[in-house]
Amino acid sequence: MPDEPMTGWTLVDHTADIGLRVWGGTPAELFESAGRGLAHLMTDPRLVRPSESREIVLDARDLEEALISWLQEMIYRFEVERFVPAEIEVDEVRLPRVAGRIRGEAFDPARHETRLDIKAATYHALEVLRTATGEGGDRWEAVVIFDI
Amino acid sequence: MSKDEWIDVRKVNDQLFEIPRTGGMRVPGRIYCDERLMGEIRGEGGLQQVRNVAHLPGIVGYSLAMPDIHWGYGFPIGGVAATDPEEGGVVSPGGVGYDINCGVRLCATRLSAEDVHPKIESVVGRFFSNIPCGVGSEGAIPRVSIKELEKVMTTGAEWAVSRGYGRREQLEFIEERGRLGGGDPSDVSARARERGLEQIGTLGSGNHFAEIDRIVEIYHPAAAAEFGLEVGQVAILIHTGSRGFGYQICDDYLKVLGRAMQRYGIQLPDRQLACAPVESPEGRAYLSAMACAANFAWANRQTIMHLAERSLIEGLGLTPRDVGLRLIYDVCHNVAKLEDHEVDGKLRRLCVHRKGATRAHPPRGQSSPWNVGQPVIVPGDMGSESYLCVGTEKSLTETFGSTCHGAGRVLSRTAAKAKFGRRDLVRELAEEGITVMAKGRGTLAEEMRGAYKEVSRVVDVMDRAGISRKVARLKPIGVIKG
Repeated sequence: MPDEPMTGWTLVDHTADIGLRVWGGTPAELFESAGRGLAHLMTDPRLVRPSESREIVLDARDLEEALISWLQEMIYRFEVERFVPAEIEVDEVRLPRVAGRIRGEAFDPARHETRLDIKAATYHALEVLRTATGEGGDRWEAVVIFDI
Repeated sequence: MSKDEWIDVRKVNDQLFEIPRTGGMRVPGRIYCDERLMGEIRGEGGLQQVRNVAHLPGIVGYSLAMPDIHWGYGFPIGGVAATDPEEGGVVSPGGVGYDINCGVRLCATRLSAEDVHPKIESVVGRFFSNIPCGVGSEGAIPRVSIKELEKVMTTGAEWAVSRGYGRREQLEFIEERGRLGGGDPSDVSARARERGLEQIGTLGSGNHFAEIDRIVEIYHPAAAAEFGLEVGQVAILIHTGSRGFGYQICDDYLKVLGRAMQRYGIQLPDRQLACAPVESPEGRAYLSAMACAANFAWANRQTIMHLAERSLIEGLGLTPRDVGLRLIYDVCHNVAKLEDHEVDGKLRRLCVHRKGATRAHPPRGQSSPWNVGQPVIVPGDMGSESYLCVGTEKSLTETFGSTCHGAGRVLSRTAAKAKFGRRDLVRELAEEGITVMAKGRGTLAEEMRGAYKEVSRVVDVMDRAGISRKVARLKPIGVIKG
């Protein structure tokens, strides 16, 4: 899709729930796109200050498990620590290791919006695929469905 | 979502369709529904999932679906599957769902709709302020300690009663008496505990709600008389589950069982169907953690019933005696349980998965104190209607003692929002005599009627099939939502 930016996400409609189509030039960029998309499902990240950060390191047996674990980490931080995301940075996706951080701040009902109550990022029909290679650069894509 | 128009579906009778066994299916599929519902079900992805479930090792009889079937994660919602642990039968978190022991509790009151009507705004206001709901809701009751949370995991509704939320005699009226055995807290991750700590006594978001209902019609006078229900009476309906605690347990064990599957050489068409033999360390650990979540959910609904009673007392300025809140029954509709079932004349212990399906036991046995059959509560979509039914003998011979659970979504959340999002739904419902308070306007549109199948058609199919009988219909006069 030539009109699209190199990295990004769009909403995918789904009867039961909601999904994100995410893409990037590397797995790390794809993970960042997914994190940004999820942040938009949870809140309006533009209203969140990136004043604190949470370092995330996890291990996974394949890219699908890594992506779901990464997104689950954001859901968990929001629910337990009330940490709302503003920016997502992924340093490396080199299996089994994934490392990066979420920048954001503690939830403040006066300034922040809550959008969807997301139960989980699911494995439904999930495949992290390299859809293009070559001189124009690689392209990695995935569709993640969230249970809400 | 896969298109399933190609799937061969044959009509067995007016209430039942069958998918013949082909390919890797170990048993045929069976879907309880009529022609009209089948028209809506086709193409939605649920039929493909009925086929996928039929591939599970050790599955017995049929891969079943109730008329409220719709697409779910791994299993369809409305799916029922029993596996035999002695024949390598598996347990699958996808056959239970993320919201472990999501369920419904119906309580009767001594109030009539006329008593409540003049003060409905105040009553709904009290519900809304006393029962935390919405995204990240917490703090209904003093925060429990980790030690206390372990008691919740092992004793369920009984824990809530011991803390003063409700009365001991109410436990009789809960499936499994509100306490599923075999739950060992050491099988529950630290993360699940953290997510659960502040969420006991909270409603959450999505399709969960608490309603003040009026009984509008009785179909089975003998059963209604035994339940002490009549037209015009006010009842309370609570629909919620195990909150973040259960979601985290599901996610944790999808990973554990996904890895174990390779070890046991199990291959299935969908990763969300991750499973392991019931008689394996991983399978046993999931069932144990799942029981902890089921118990959490029963403690949650027990606590919310107490908060609802307090809201009625405060909102109406009456005594507990005048309100007379009593539990008719509490059912879970997302669970896997080891149960004894007769198959081909032999009693076998099976692992029965009910995902968006309700146990519906006949008028005998230990499953409920009622003589007319175990109550089944089938909530409709917001602002429409709900049904009280009872189980029958036939449910034991045909559906492993199971029936439908609700309406079943037909519009996606985004489509529902596009359809209803700009309308003043709170005012529209108020004009129909339904007072609604909701945390998020979006949720209200997403859960609006029209987003679901008509619940009356769903319960009618099961009534005609002779699996669960209709007893009464209820309509809301007040609703709170996340």
